[in-house]
Amino acid sequence: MVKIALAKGRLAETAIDILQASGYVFPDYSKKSRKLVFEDESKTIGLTFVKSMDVPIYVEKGAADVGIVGKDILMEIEPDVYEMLDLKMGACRICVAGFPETKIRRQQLVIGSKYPNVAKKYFQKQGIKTEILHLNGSVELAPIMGLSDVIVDIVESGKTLKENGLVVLEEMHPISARLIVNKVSLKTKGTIVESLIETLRKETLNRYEDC
Amino acid sequence: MVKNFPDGVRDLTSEDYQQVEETATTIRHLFQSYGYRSVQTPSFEAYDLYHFPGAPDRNAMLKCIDTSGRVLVLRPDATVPLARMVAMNYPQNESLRFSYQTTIFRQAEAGLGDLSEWNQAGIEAFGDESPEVDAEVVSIGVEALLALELDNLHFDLGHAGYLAGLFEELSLTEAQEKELLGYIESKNLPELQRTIRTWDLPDNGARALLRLPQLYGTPEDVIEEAKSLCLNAQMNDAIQNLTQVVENLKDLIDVPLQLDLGFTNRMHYYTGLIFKGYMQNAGSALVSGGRYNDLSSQFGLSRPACGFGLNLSYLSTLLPKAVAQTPVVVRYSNETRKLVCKKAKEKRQNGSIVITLSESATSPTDQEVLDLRNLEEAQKW
Repeated sequence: MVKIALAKGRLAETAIDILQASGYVFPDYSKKSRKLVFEDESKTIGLTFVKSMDVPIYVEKGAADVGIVGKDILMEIEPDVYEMLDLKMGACRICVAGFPETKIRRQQLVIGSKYPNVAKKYFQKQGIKTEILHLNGSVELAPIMGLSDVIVDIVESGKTLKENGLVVLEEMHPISARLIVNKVSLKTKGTIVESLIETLRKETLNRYEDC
Repeated sequence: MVKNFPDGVRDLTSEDYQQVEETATTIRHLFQSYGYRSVQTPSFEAYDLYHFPGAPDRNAMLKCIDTSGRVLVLRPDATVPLARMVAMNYPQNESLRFSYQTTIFRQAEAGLGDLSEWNQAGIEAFGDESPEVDAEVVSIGVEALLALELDNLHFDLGHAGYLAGLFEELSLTEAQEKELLGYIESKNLPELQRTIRTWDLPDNGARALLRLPQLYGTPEDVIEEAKSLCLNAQMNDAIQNLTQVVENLKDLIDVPLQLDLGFTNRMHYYTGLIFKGYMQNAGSALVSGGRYNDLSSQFGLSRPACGFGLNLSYLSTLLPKAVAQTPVVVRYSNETRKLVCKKAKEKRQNGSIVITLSESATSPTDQEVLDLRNLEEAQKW
């Protein structure tokens, strides 16, 4: 059986829709179910729901063969896995944001972020010394409360930023959901994993023809 | 109570250690049967030994300082010290086969459950760069896993020369090559496409790069396509070499064998064949090795070599628990002590495990004790 790790939410629902449309039926699955593991009728595929930040480690260690996870999380954790498909879902950007007048090209920049590794590497590359505050939520508050100069966070519509008087100061990287695969599973469970990749590749092309 | 127990290390209880020992013994016998003699290098080496282009990552090394202030590293890999030892101790350019079983120390990243210290076994064949030796080394890797009765195995071969040849054609900066290596290593086609599009690369080079992550599968298919993408003699040679290794291997082993030209030279010293052995449902590679023809010249003697290592600590966790032989426990009295101890010695020589207890000794909780305090009983035993 090929085990897929994914986080509950919109991404998972779309992924399950695609799998069901290509013939895998998950009789026990419903959005409201509290179960964390579901198998399809033919027992070819098992779905496991984990926290999105934990998807990479499940796949790297082989507890799951395949995972669906945002590029932001892959950039933060940098797992040793195959990153084989851009599923285009959940598109957004990871950005540096702050008050409009804030200068970011300066030393001793204080950054609040859920992505300390991404933030540190980005500014290190440019020779800027930063101080990173690892925050766990409501990151926008940090500059407002005077905790940090700027934030590094994912931005979808920019609405939350705007309502709090903040703007995108710099776009760092486009983000979307990716399909990751354990390095052993791709080889030892090749047939099922490859056909799964192909199904998702075709479906992605159908949904995002312009890309 | 013990506080501050370090991360990344663990105690091996007798059951765990027996498993490691048995695994090691099986593998040592196999290596020796092929003429790979056991050697051992020191537990620590000078930090400077690892100061050469392409050396393993120095950040993860565990350093210590001797009384004169010199920085030493606890053996962070087996191949570099072995290449040094062989260059220093066997200056004639002869063909040599060595095996080892040793502890490797490398600081594990926190939170991933990895060990900072593990047991590794491996072989290195020096002084011969023929595809036959490559095939021999891979086949011993296969046999090692078979000897441990593991099944659902899968072996993958790649070649460092193919990508090196391709990079020759592209005249990229070091930073650019490093970025591409990351994408190829993770088969990240979307990011590879996005990056290549922004660089000005020759069409045939870009085409070959974009195919690399997907150049894996059956030897026939991969070799055919890889040939069509070759841009220079180095790439051609790599494919020819790989073809010869595969041909040789087919006569030696009988497990699924595939090629993956997306294997990159993560241990930067590999120059030719790179290979990995996997087992279904084990999350990481069990065997990992390749050819490194230039490493020895770092130590003043140019000599080709090929080898592999396997992580015994990890392997042991995949095997069924070792069954310990049940000991015989006997209790003697002052009167029977001499006789019982003499008989126990004979029985031990015949393969039994015998524990002898004096009259006042506490009994082990989990074993029955045979009462031999009576002379008659002792004589019958």
